[in-house]
Amino acid sequence: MSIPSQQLRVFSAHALDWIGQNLPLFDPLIAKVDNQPASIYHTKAMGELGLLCLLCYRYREGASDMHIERFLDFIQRIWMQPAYKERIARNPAYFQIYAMTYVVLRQCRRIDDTDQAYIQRILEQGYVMATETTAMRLLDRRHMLDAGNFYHRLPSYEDLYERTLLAQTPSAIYLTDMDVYAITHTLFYFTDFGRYATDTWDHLHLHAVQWTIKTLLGVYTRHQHWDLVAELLLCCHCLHWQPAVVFTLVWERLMAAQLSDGALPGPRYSATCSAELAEKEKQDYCFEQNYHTTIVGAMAGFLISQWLKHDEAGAKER
Amino acid sequence: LEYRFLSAERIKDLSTCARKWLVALQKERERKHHTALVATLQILSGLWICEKGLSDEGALSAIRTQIQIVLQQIDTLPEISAALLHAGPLLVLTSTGILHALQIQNRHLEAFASEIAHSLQCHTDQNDADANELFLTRFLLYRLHLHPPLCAYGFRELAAQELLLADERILRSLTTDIIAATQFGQIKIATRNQFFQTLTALLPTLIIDAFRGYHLERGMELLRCLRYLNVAKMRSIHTSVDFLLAQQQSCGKFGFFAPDLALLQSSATSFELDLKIYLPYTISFLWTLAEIVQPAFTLVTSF
Repeated sequence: MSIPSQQLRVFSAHALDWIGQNLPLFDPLIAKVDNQPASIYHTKAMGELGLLCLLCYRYREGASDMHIERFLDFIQRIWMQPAYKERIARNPAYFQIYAMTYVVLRQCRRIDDTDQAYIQRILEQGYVMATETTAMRLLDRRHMLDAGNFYHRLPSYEDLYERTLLAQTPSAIYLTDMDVYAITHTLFYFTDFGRYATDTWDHLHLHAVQWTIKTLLGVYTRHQHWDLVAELLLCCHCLHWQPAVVFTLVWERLMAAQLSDGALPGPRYSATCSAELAEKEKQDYCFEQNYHTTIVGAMAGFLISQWLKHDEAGAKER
Repeated sequence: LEYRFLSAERIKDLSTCARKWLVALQKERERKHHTALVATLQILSGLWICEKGLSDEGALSAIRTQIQIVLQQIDTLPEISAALLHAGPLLVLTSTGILHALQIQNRHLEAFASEIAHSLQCHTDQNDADANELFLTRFLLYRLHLHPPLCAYGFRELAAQELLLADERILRSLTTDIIAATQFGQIKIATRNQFFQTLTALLPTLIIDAFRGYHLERGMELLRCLRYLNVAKMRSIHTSVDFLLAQQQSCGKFGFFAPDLALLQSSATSFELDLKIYLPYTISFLWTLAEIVQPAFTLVTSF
């Protein structure tokens, strides 16, 4: 028996509430320019928030979600500031996370293509494409460039996929947390978060990937690693597949793990540590530890609820 | 179910390698005048699995030699009852069964088995868990014709959440229950039962999680349970067996425990570690592998 879509919508909405309450902390301009790591951290957080908006925007029905509109207003306000926008030219080492803001706003029809040439020019200087990275990150790069309609000469998704860890389906026994992140992200970018089917895979490979995802879902639920649990659930959406027994069970655990304020605890979050902090430090600590898990949880809740809602409607019609 | 996915040559190689290590360990014990009966019987069981379960040559040469050592040791040990008690009923009853398979009886082993049978006849199980705990002993006694046919055993149906999050205690009770309910795979469980479906969906996760934490014994117990449940989880089995094969050292023993032992700062010699740590794990490895890759072999019904 699958989980009702309504429960996932409530879960996702609660996570969006938490994001809304902590929105100012996503601002990359709050960090002083001489504190680059802090600035990158906030930019990354805002990029992930943007991705959440983009995915929700794609599936919007009628009027957009109030939260999402507010988040997009926030991201747009930051993008419009030259102090942010010019960082792409000043610091192309982080091209991808800065350019993501533009891609999100373009895809959500918030801005026109005025900055397209500016960003393409930075790309064509050659540095960005010459930097070394993993196969999964190349998929990520291609996914972002395609979403932004940028010209590039990256190999096809299929060619890039063949070079990834997931394509080799290594033993699940040895996979580290970082390996599992590489696997989940490979599926996100290869399928464009479930938009494209994996029909170029043969049956055996699909079965091997599904087995890996299902097994890891159980393993990471046992270890209460909600960040990877949410990412692996999102992978189920990417594969348009619900593993029997495990899918519902894991969702129940993930929903039970949601904190009263809507956040999902990250892998290093400690309620005890949090309780010992003063109000401001506590908010910063909770944001730093939980923002990523909460965003991924909201994405998984939203996308899977849409998918289940569609299935429920189909079942009613029959 | 078709579990035979390793080549016969690969099985023979790993079995030969393990058998050589067991034989070498026995020789080393003799050189050091090590006379603990428990190790002698463990080596006997290991050799039985190698020659009976993993090899189809039928020579049983190492077994026959080890049986002579067992018999000689039993006859010369001053405190044989204490030594048998120390070895434990399961190992003693298994060894007695192996001897029976070769038409050999020993009065001390027979007397010990009869004594256990007698005390179990006087024992009343308090509950299902108690009954399941004693299942293996009863089953071995039955194989030795010292116990009437066994009744049907049930198992406690856990909630799916409880199963997924099962701790060491619950997992131990689960494996005991599966062994008892299936009688080592001889009795089929109704596959339409919802708990059976939950169990078979979650067992692979529990197995892989155990191996990821290098909890080899727990992983191997659960893997054998998958076989007793007659479930064709081929990818879980392949992954687990590949992993287990990689744990066999080139000398034939099983497990890479040096990092754990270094943390314990043990002053034990390598010979002592071989006996206390590597020997039991090697037996368990051979047992698991034989039952997984050789569908016709089940240790406790092999004699």
